[in-house]
Amino acid sequence: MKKKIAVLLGLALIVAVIIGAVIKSSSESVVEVKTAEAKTMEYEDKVLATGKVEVADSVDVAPTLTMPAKLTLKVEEGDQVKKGQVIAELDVSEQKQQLADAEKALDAAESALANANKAKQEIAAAKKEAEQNLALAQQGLEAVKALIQEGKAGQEELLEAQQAVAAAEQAKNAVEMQAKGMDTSTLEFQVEQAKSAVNAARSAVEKGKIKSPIDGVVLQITAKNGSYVQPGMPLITVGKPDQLQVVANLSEQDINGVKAGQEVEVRWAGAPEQLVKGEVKRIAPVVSAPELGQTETHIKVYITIDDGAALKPGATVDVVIYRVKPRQSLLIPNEAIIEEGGTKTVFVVDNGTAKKVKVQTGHSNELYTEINEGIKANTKVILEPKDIEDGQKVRLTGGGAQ
Amino acid sequence: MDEAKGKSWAALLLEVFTSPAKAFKEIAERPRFGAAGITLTIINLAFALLTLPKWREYSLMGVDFSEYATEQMSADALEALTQTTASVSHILIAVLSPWVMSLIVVLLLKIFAAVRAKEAPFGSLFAVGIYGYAPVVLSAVIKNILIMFTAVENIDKVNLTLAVFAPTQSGFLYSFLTACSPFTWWSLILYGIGAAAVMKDKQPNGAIIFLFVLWLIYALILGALGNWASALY
Repeated sequence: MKKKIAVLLGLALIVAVIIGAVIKSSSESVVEVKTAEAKTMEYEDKVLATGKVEVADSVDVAPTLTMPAKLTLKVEEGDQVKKGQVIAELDVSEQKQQLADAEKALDAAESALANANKAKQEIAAAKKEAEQNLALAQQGLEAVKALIQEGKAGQEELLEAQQAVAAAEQAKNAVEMQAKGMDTSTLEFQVEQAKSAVNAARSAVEKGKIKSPIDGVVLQITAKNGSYVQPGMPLITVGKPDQLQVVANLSEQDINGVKAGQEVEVRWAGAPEQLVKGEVKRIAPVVSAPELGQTETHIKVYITIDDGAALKPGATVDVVIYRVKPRQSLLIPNEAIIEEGGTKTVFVVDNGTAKKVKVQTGHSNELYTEINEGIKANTKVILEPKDIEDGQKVRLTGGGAQ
Repeated sequence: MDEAKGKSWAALLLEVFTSPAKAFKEIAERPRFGAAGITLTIINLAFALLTLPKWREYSLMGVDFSEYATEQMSADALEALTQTTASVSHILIAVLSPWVMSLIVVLLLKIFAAVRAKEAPFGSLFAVGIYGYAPVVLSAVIKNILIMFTAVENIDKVNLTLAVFAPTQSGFLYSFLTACSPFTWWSLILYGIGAAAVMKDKQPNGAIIFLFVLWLIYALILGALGNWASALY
């Protein structure tokens, strides 16, 4: 009897299973979907990056001499300096020697010019005297000719007067010839050249004194005292440490949405308890090549900071740029949204049926999208609904992202 | 000549369903499994072939092959490969399952016999495995008939286990219930009766309990794996 009951129960179970399978397989096609609930949560959209603290107004000072020279530092890092103050000196003994030689050459040229000018004056005086003598001789000749007409002088006196005129003319011509040969322009040019050489040598000597171009603080000295430095090599950085900025390097995918004026938080490992607030000041107009040891290109974002007392120039800092500051928003996962021709829709689950709903979205970050209009909080939206049709029966399989 | 001495393999195959104790007694006395095994394999294969087009179509459902296409393999080639793989695996399962299952049963019953210090020849146990597999073949026949009348997108719902009553199609309960097939239990009982006949036990309870305990472990592992898989998903 027991055996028969067991067999009957077994058969009943088999029949029930077959009927269940028939009913289930002939029922309307139900698609299994993953869903997530629309929830009001704190939303923020931020970019994390690293940056470098820099002095906003700083100058790198480099020697302008045309040859390597030995360096003597006159300041130390942290020293206050004034504009024009000598902060380092270069060994310019060779240039000083050149200056002395140039000055000697100038003296010589000026002396030669002075002598030439004196001789020129003497010739001018001699010329004037010769002209006077000629005039007198000509007057004498005229007087002799008048006396001859009156019969008071003879041919002998006339000949003497004529010879006197000829001698005076000869003397005048000789002086004029001498004056013509007296040209000082070459000497004047030589003096000018000598002056230029002196100026150049003096300038070279002056370049040996490296001066601060601004009022500020010596931020960095990159060369050692007594070392030989090359022309153009930055030696000393002078700046105003109270005017700091942060330069953050953002990847090309992170730069989207970053604008001037957005709030920034800066934190330095050297003072981790201090959060420094700042603001995006500007974004570099070009993409920078990868830095040494890196492979990715980046875009520089310049950030002004409110109070840089907690930071030090050159420090590497963690930067958070808020594209959207934290706020309460209705959020759904990004994978729930379908975009068709500029219209955004989601599928919500309504009594086991997928229902297409048009939504107006706000900002999105890498996980969530803000919903401004279309659905309410706690609505279940279908994740990755690309194969779902409006009105289709759906069955939920576990939760998606929360 | 053996046929003349007793019932034919076909009669035994039918008697397994109606009077299993008698059938297995004769099978244990004169173990023969070739004809019955081939018959079960042919039935399995025939019904598998009838539903093969549907399984080929089903294997492509819900997959966008263009997403997985590479320079080396186009979307069309991937589709063809998927269909071929589905076909081959479908046929292989139909052909091999009676034999592989019988081997597993032999192995388990050999262990059971060794523990109880009973004599259980391989051939007799293998014959028990083949004949005891008949209810599973019957379930495959019913399942394939149902599939023939079912829309392709729903053929995964044709399930002759208690999972057909599960509220969801994932998780521990669903996976556990997929192992709870009345046909499997039927076969386990037949294996137990057959083992008792081979080992000359008066009652088959020991072998049946042994097989059901092993089955329960298997079902629980299946349930745990299903739970783990659904958590991953």
